[in-house]
Amino acid sequence: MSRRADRLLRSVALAAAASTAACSWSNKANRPVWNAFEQHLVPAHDGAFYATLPLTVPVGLVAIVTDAVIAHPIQVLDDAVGDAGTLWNEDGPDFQSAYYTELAFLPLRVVATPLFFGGSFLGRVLFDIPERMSAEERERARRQRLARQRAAADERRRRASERFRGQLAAIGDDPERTLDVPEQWDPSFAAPLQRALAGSALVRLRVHRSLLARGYVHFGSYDAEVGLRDPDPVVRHAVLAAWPRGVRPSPAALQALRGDPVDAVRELVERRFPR
Amino acid sequence: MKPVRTGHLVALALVGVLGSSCAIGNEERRRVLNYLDANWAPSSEGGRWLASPVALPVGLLAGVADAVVVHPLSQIDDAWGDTVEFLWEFDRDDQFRNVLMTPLSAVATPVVFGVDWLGRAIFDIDDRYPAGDGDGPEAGR
Repeated sequence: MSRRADRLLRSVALAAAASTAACSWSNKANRPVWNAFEQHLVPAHDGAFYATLPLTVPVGLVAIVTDAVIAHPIQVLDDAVGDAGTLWNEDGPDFQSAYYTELAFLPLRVVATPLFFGGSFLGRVLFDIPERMSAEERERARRQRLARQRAAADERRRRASERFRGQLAAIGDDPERTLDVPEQWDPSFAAPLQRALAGSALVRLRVHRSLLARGYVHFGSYDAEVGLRDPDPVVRHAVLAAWPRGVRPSPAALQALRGDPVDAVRELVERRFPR
Repeated sequence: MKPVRTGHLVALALVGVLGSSCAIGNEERRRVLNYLDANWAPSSEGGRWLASPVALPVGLLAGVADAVVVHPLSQIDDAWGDTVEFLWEFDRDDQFRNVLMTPLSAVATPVVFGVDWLGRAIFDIDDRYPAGDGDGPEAGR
């Protein structure tokens, strides 16, 4: 690389560093020297202010550079140490209750600590990263995160429950619609589910198949064996065909199916659940 | 092309393990290490010192097994749940949307699942259903 290109590259790197330093510098709290200079040495009166500009401007620039290169790096040193310290337990390695874990993490921590400190220090020098939180603040943030997580899970569950209730209520109008069976039972499903299971054969068939497709033989008040005793042989056959593998119906239900008046049902029960 | 040096591979492995530690940094995601800690740790301090030359590599191997095998396997159902929620939970009663979205969702499924699974395998992303919630596909059966 020619000397000129090398110089240009260095200038660009310096300019980039200076402009990114502005990220941290843009926060007033990160400019202690400049703040002190402004508060104590820059005259407040217009006349004196303008008269001293030839002196205050270069000193101000020196204050900015001092903040960026010395004062702010010193300010963030303890935060960077704290960041690196998060790799280690506050009370030292806990060999008594986590022997293998502590040993496995030991070499990683030794290698990672200086890297982590360097990265954190550089990041905090260049960018306006909030100061480290105290133990109480961290605990509060953790609780808030858990609460948000639970609220999101509750919301997902609420939406799924609402959708399922709506589908159960409307299934009489369109027995071929798909039911999105939620992952958790809600007592509010009991009444619409009971109504649907008292509906037409096609509706009953759809309800049983939707629940069995999710592997639910029991789901709250729902018992899939009701489908095995359904008055319609097509429903009995479909429930039997959709019955999850690895789950055996009760002996009484199997006995009844083995004596079913419809050949296809009898044949299927012998194939799926041999004696 | 320059030959790949062993040092590069070691550095890469280190970065990988350190990166993986994002997930295994969470105690709940270190099943093998937790098992060893609970069942195979010497009870006395002297025993712990004596066993350390063997226990250290064993612990490292267990940590790698957690990061590379056990934790990624445990995230398959969550990644699938995310994929289904993201790509397949649309209003199925809208026929046109059904026709339009189904092939797109089918094409995107392996990509979304793969990226989601990789993310969950590497980083400590919250489970879809917090443990002890009585939630999940087993509930209600």
